[in-house]
Amino acid sequence: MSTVSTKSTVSTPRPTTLEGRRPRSQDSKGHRSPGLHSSAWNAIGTTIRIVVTDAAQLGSARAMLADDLAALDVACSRFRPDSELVRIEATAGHPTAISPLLAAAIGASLRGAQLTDGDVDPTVGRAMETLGYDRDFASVPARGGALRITVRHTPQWQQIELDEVAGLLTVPSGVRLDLGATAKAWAADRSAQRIAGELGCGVLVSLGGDIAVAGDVPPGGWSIRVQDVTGDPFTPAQGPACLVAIGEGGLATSSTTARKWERGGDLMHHILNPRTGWPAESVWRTVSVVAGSALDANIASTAAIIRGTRATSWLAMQGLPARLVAVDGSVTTLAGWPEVSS
Amino acid sequence: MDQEKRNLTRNKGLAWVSALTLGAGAAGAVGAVAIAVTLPQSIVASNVSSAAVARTTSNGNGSSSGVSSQDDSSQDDSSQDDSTSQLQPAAPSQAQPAAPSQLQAAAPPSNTNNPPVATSGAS
Repeated sequence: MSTVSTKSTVSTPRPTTLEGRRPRSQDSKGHRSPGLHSSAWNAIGTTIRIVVTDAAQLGSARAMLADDLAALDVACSRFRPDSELVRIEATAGHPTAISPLLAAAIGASLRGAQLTDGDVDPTVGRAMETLGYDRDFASVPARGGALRITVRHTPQWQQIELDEVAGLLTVPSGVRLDLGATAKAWAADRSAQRIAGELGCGVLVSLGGDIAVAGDVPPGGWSIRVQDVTGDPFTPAQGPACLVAIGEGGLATSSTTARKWERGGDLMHHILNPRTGWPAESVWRTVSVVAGSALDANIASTAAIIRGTRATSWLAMQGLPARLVAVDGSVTTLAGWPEVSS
Repeated sequence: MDQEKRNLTRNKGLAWVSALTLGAGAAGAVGAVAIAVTLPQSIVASNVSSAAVARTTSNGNGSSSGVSSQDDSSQDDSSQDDSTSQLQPAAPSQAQPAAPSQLQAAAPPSNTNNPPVATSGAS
């Protein structure tokens, strides 16, 4: 019956230099957690957290997750000139051999596009750059001059040809992929399954709030606080929040309240409507979804942000438990999400 | 005399045209029979392809099972002729994005009094 919270300020995990260690049996409020052990650090431009049910496996679990994320960054980052995703642009228009990791990540993104009728589309990379999000978000200027927008044909996910078995990808010339909408959730699922399978314990992996769980379920389930911005669970939430427990699959939240910047007086955020190449209308400040995987939860929550007022009927039709917080703070819950949660 | 030759030539021409017409008709009839014979196989092949696609789409893990499904279909109907083999592309030879027909659901979350071990929000 203990909780260990660790936090590193460096992107490369170094368990020997962890900071912020709390008493093993309690968090900052003195609340007990049922035998859970966690570690947190920053990587791939976001906050990483891993929680395990077996204290003896925390170090190994953390190292495995760090390895997975390093490989993910090399394969999928659109901000690293040496990443595989960037390098394949040199062969645009031609079938190109890609790694199984990149193929699977792109496959996951295309699946998201397919299941949302193109709402979650990985071909928004160039539109994202046009709006100013062309580097790691921490380096994106908060303000800038008016944008010069050129109206052009919007690429679509159907133009991408992927043969996962052969490891061949064809991206039309001029199309730039952005896997940011799905890659974190997909990676959380993949790592949680791998770590639970190899270490034989319960695992929660959170990549910037895209959460996947696998293996043994702790008593009462995995307790997760849903809030505007992903943060330290031991620090009180800012804005509307709720506390829920899950025992399987994943939970993801998409939001228009983070990764915002301004150009020429227009407020931008990172969830684009692929049909306009412009940030989705802010009907919801957050949409949280529970699904059979973090990937599916993330696909649904992202699509809901883009669908705006049409999101509730679509989510209900999908049968996915969801919590939607409108811009004015009013909360809508769907498909079994607890209406009143602490 | 010249008139007779012209008539003879014309009649031969008409006969040739008639022969052509009859031949085409016969060929058409043969073609229709061929189509009628081939059609059941085509339908079978189409059904096999659909089954292959259905099996592919039932895989929700992002992996591609289309190739093995196609192999299964070949085993099911090894006597397919060229016309049926041309239907095979209906089951994509390329691994398209793994395509379960819908997003995977999970049990709804529950209320809890346990302290949170993680948070989910914008990042």
